[in-house]
Amino acid sequence: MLKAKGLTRVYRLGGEEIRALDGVDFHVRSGEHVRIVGASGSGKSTLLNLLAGLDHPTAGSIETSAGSLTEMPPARIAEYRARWIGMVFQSFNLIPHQSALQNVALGMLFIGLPARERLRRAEETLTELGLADRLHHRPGDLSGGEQQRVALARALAKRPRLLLADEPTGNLDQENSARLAEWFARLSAAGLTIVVVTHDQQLAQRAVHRTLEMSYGRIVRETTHREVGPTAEGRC
Amino acid sequence: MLGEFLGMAAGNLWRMKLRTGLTVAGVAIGIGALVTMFSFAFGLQRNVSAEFRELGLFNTLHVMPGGPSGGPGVVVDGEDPDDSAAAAEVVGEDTGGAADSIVILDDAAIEAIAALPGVVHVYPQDTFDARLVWGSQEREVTAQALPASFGQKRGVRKILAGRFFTADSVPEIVLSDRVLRAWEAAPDSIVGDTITLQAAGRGALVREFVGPMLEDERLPDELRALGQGISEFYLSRLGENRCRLAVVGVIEVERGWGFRLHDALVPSGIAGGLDRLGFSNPIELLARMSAGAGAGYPLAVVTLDQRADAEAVREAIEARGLQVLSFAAEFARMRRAFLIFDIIVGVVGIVALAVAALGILNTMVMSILERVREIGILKSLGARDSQIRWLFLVESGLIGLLGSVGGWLLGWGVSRILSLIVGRLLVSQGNPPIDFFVMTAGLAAAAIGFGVVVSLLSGLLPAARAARVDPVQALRRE
Repeated sequence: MLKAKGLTRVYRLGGEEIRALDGVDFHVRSGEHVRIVGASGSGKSTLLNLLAGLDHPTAGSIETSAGSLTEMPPARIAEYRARWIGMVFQSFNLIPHQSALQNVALGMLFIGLPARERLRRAEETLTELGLADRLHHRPGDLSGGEQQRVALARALAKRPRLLLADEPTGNLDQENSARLAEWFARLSAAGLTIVVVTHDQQLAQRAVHRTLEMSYGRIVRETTHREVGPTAEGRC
Repeated sequence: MLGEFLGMAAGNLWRMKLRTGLTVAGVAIGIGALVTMFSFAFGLQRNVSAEFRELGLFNTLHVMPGGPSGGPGVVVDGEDPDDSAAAAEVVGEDTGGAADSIVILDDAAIEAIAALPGVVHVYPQDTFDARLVWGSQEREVTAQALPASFGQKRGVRKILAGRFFTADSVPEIVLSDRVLRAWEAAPDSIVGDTITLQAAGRGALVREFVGPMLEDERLPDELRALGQGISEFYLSRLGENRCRLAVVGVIEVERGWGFRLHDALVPSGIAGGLDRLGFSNPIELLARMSAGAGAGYPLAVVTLDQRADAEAVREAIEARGLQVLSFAAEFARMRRAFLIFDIIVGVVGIVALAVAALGILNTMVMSILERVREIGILKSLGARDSQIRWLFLVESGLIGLLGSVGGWLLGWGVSRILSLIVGRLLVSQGNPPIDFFVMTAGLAAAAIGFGVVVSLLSGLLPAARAARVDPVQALRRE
């Protein structure tokens, strides 16, 4: 599904070189649920941004089922992101002046679905996530947990092959974190490939196949909790 | 996708109503100024062009006597000015005149011009001062002698009642509506009536000025008798200066830009038999004097066939030493002046629009700075750089479209109001109302198109900046 080799990302800040990722080798199989943990500044989010094609590695390569991400032109990377990737962020990243329904429908704008189909899928996904009575509410009128579910709905409605989540429970209370963990478990059980950066033990303990621990831009430990089932393999 | 972007752009603009409104107003003022000024420029050209066309001036030449250095042509220096046969003979040839010779415009010259290929007809500009008497009504007018063939000339003013005279020697007259207005009479009421035309002739001058002098008792009797004898002899040689003419028609002469017919049109044969002064103003007197006393006309009007080569006719007349004024050539020169006027108008309008363009640029830059995070979100959802660029271009284009449509409406409104004011002013001064502004669909489309293009150009830089936003940095922004 996804294979990174020698992945390196170097930033220059005020003349100083910061090595956020330092030769990371990494792979994710279809249907696998991978958790990435590590201290702040260990390179977790940088790795996730590179996998999403939002950032470009200084060195190394990322091979995906859609092709080599490091060799794709920018327009194809954007298309890959639109069609293959669903992203969930710690700070939700919803557009504040749009309703929940519009935010979710917007997630499908760049895959060329007609407006009616986008709205139908958005409504369906929000309803599945328990937000049927919040369709026309703006993010400012929703609780943190509801906003994160809208963000999850936006990521899922376009039916991505890979869900990337960066500290998705970071801004949620315990109850909402547990609810989101439950959703991730269900999605993983349904065979969706998930890479999640988290400190949340609840999220970590539910249905994770592997945990990677990062430190100073490298993967320092890899723990396999369980193997990917044949059903899940077959999905992607 | 463009439809989606239009919806998003409209939504974004609507959220920032005040800012959008002010920017749109800036564009509207710029486009409005441009529309008003071009509308005026086009109106001016249309009015002049229409007047030229209505008067048939595009196929009209004015021929004047050649000056002392008029070049080859009719050489009459030292010849008998009344010897028109000799003059006609010379007009027909290129003899190469002396540098100080005078080329006169007489009947022979006019006949020679009329024989040129492409010339439909030629008539002299022959005017004289006269008094019209109709019952108890009187009016001093400038009368004009015209051939009957003038009635068939394209561009003759609208005949309000009756007809034009049909022969050169019939005792008929055509009056202008101006005379009828002065007499407070309807055009139909005078047609068929007979009026008296009394020309300001040489006899009248003698009676008016010499008569009182000869009655001065301080003059010796012999001298007075001699003066009276000479006066009577002179007067006996002059024809009548008055005649009774049947009014056959009334024409409209009010509209126009200066190429007007006069108030009383008399058949040339009738006018030729009157004792009259051959000029009605100092310019004509000077023209007469320069052409030689009593020799020829100061001006002749040449009408050409629509398909005639005006330049060739002009050259043929000029080759005979006469001066020619071609209205088509004058109009071409005027068009060049109009073009310069249009450019000046355009520059002024573009300055106004440039200010509006800076407003759009400012608005778009502000909008992007406020929406960096939103751009990051769109990129994380799969928006391509080009799509981000288009989204912002559509926004600036929409500002331009709203501003341009508003500007056109503003320009239209201003031009209508100005037209109304100027029209009323003209009417109050006794002139016909003229619409100085032209608002065409082409001008509207060009103004709106230009406004949108300028707005899109203003949005290029901010849109490129939006497309370059780093999504990772943007998503980190609070």
